[in-house]
Amino acid sequence: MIALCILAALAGFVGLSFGMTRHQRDVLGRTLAPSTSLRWRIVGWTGVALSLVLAAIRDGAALGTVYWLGELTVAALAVALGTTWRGSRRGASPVREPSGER
Amino acid sequence: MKVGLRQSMAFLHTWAGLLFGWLLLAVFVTGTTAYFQDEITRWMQPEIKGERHLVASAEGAVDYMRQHAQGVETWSIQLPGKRSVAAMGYWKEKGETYLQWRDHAFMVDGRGVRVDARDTTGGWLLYRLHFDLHYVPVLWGRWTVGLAAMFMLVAIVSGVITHRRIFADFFTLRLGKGQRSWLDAHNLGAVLALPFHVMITYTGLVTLQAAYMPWGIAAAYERPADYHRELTGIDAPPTRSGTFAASAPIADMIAQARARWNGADPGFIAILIPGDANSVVKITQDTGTSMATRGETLTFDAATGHMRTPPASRGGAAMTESVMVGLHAGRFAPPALRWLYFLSGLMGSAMVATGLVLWTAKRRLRLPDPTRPHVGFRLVERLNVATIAGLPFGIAVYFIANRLLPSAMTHRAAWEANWLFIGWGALLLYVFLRPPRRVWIESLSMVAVAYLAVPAVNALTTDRGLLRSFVAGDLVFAGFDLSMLVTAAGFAFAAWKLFRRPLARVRETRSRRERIA
Repeated sequence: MIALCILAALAGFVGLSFGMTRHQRDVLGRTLAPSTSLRWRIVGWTGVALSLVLAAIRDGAALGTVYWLGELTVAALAVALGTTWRGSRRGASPVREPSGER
Repeated sequence: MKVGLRQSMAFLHTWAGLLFGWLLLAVFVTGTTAYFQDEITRWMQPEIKGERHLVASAEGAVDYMRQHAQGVETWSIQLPGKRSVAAMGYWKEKGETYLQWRDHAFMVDGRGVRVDARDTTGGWLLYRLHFDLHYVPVLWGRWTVGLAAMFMLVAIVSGVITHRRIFADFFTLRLGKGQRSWLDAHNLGAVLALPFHVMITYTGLVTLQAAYMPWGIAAAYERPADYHRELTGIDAPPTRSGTFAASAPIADMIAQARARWNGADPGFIAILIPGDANSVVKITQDTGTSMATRGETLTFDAATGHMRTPPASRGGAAMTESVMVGLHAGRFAPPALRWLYFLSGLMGSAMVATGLVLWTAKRRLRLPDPTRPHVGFRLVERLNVATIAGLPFGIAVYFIANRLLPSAMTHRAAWEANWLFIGWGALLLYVFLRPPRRVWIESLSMVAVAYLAVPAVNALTTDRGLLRSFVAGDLVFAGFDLSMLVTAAGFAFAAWKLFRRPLARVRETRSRRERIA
């Protein structure tokens, strides 16, 4: 159940990151149309909200909220590291050092 | 000249952060370890084995004191929580202060048998360091940490305003770009656990609110002790009758308490003027059984085992305070949540550490001559290494000292603590004596080696090494040793990354400067 919550939050944050121009450039190399971005953001917030609902069902509103905030941190950290990894693989960084150096 | 909000906030954030950063890092790191306080203590007393049996250990402690401590003022028993095995008993003789309890402390395991465990402060030392510091009077320590916590709140609010891109760049971490990368890491550590940082700083101040804002109590109560008595429900001590009376079985009283608390365990028992006909038994609920950490205290007549009228349930304000303190300390947290707390604590430590490094990274490129920085820059740079590597090094030395100091040594527990600061101080000295260029790599490597040594020394000096505890399915001991190895790997990785980078960066900086010239 904890894993399910983190998964929902993870899906939520992936959605949110796809809805942000900065991360669209990092991951896709281009920006999406505003309507597409909006749709991703809706998906994102839904995922984040769903993870709260799941946590509250599991542990009640009080303890569930405490769990949820911790689970959000784990999920967001995973998305941040994933975005970094994708970005470095794409070579999206503008001032990348030439690969011959060192 | 008018300065904009963001600039003035940036100034505040930079300098409040730098001034209190080193202390805040120590508070964050030791506070994070405190989430595993009980597990650390268990590892530091390898003599204590077996299963937890709360009632048996309470009975064992009472029996022991009945034989060895007749006629004293108080018998106290710290019962094992869900994550501990042994109970700790201690007594207080007439005229002694509560600070002397350590002189009469002993451990009782789940069979009710006294165990000769090595004298140690265990995870409790790191927990107390978190808000009391060490070698200074407790009140000074608390005031200092409280001041730092106030500035932490200031740094959080001003940080959100200063680093305005934290929400637009929510998931951004650009690696290998010097100052840019440190800024990203600082922002990530802050923003991804922001609810935790706000909660932990605010509730941290609440835990010691009576010390920081005593005037409310002073206005409403004649003596502060009256307030504490009302808050804790502990009334005046009983007077001696002079006649002896045997005490009713402690197990019965524990059963009555459990029944009242819907099965929740007691955490602390105090028996006042034991053996006297007027003796009274106080049983307090375990702090880890509910999010509201301040449990109820029930009073029993020792001779009959009869429970007196329970205290009235507390008001909303007291309950709110209790939940805030509970949220801060996380004693109620089941294992999964405990690890989430721990992770958030690490993120906070990383936020403060990267913030400190950022101060130098930002200024290094602007120095007139980067090979010969001015005194302030050198001081900050070295204090950064001395704290970021020094404190973890000291903690590793503390763990090693726990295994190497002879168990019969006098003031053994105090010496373990001294070794923490000897280790930290030695690294600080080293940092100030070495040329700055390689000091990061060398210090981080030393920390990695120290953490690698902890499980090794454990395996050599006890019969509870990693391999054995792994085979025996001992999660606490195996988990502790594995955590040491992971910590060692983390510091080694950092050192290795630095080993591969610095030359390139200096070269790059120099060529850029030449281009400008």
